[in-house]
Amino acid sequence: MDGNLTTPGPTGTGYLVVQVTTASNAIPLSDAAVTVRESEGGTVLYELRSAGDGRTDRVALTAPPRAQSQRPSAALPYAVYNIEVRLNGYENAFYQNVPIFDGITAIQQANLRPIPENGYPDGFTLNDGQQFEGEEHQLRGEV
Amino acid sequence: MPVGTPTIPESITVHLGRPEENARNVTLPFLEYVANVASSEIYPTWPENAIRANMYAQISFALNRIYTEYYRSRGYDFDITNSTSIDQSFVEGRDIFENIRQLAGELFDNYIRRQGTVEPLFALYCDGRRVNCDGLLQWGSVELAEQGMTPYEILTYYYGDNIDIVTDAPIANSTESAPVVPLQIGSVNDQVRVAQIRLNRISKNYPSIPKISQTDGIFLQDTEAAVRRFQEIFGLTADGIVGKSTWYYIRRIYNAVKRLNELDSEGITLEEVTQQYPGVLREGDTGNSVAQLQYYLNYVSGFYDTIPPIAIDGSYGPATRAAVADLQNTFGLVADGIVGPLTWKTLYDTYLGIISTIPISYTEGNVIPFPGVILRLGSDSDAVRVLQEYLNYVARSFPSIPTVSTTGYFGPRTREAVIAFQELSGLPVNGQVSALTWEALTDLYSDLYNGQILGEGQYPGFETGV
Repeated sequence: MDGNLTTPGPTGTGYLVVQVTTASNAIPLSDAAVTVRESEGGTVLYELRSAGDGRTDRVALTAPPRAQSQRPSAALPYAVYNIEVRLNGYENAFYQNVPIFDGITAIQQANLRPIPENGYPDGFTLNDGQQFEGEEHQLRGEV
Repeated sequence: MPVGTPTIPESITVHLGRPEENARNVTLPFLEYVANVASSEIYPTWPENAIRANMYAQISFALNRIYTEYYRSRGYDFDITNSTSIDQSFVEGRDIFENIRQLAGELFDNYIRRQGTVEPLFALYCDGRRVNCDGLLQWGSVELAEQGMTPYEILTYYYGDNIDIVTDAPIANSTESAPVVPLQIGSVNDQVRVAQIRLNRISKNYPSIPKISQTDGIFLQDTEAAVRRFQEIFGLTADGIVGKSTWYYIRRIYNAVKRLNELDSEGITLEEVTQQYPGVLREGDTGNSVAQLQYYLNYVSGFYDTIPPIAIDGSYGPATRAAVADLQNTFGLVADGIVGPLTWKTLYDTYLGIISTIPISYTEGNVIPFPGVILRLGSDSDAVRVLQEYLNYVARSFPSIPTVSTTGYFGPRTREAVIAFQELSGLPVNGQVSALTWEALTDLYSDLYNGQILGEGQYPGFETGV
């Protein structure tokens, strides 16, 4: 590979399964609507439904080739996607910049909470707690 | 000064920020914390020996914080933070990689220690590219693994030769251990039976797991099918064999399922459940209003990992105050640990939202609590009759327990049955039924009973062995 050229686009494939539950995995939630989008631009890639045990189908997503993650590199060694989970009676969950690696299945646990009676205290949204904000996957380097 | 052998905690509380920051705490099973840290700190595509070496260091680091009570001894109500400048990365709600999840089940009870000491090693590490440190270099470990080094060799390279890896460390408050020889078709032993009972209990909530017809400790095709389905659902290698990782994940899910049952039977009656604000409650208060508060807090904690479980003892101590503060933090209220009208209303509305959404079958206890008086030879009451019915139900799966007539009179045969149960369960064998024996019996009864209930879509025409 000629080091002077731009890095090749993603040629690997990673996998994603979403598992929708409540009560810390004790209760699976079926029939939740799960949307998987590209993080950049938000194009919908998959519209899924959780089955009786709370799991969606396993879906394939493009990711950079595995070799790119074996050495430090300026280019991200993983691809990122956004996931939304909705089910009547429960808070919606949003997961941003979910990392997906070549050849690896990622399990996104969506542990939903029943919506409180009368909603939340004034002016409060619980999204903070339900949102995974993927930062650039930094290895420990801060001092 | 920490004393004793380090044990592996069932759960760990992580502060989502620097220690002095007012941030939320999250409590989760230690097994899952380990999987999250590894998924956050390193890449799942690395050579497996590099992943293992890094995970040993991450686990040791966390166990050191817990064993030395580093934060708790300074008055904080958490075990560790996720601030990467002082502790390690933990990203709440992130995706977990399947291979790392499997490894977490294998490694979570292992740690590094200096030879001649007991303390888990305070295993420093850093990325080894932008930052160097006196410990494991993450990128360096990749190259060493590529050169063929084992995890232990990688660790000695960075931490010195005088280290050991402790394996299968005891888990706090638990006497059981994972099977040494993986359970599979042909295995016949008590651990198989424990796994079967737990899988059946889990399958009540996860009906795509097929029922195991006889929870008799004999591992046949139907047990393998149940194991395999469990593994598929929870992202483990689906080989139908109960190795260490599968054993601990079965236990983890079983505990979550059981806990839900317990939420409803915590000693508060329906009449006592009330919306009425009992007035300001704060640390130092005692009484029924405090017990009610604790009941709601504990119930809600089953659904919010930012609120830890607490004892319902009617006494507003530091644990209750911390849980109130955690609730307030969760909902963006002023976290003063005092229950005023807004905090009470928030708590009650959350509780109401949960019980009106979750089907009752998931949380009802199905068992009668201990009648409050020790039952022994000569006792004659309704409670004895209930005892006899529970014993008989359990005896159907445990032939070492003789069946008894359900007369309500505690005679010699009932005493024999109680002794057989106590022997079987590792309880003190005294032929009497105090709270300890009663609770162990109703626990087992509940598992067997709930394990027999066929859910929608489960194997139609299946005989429950009645």
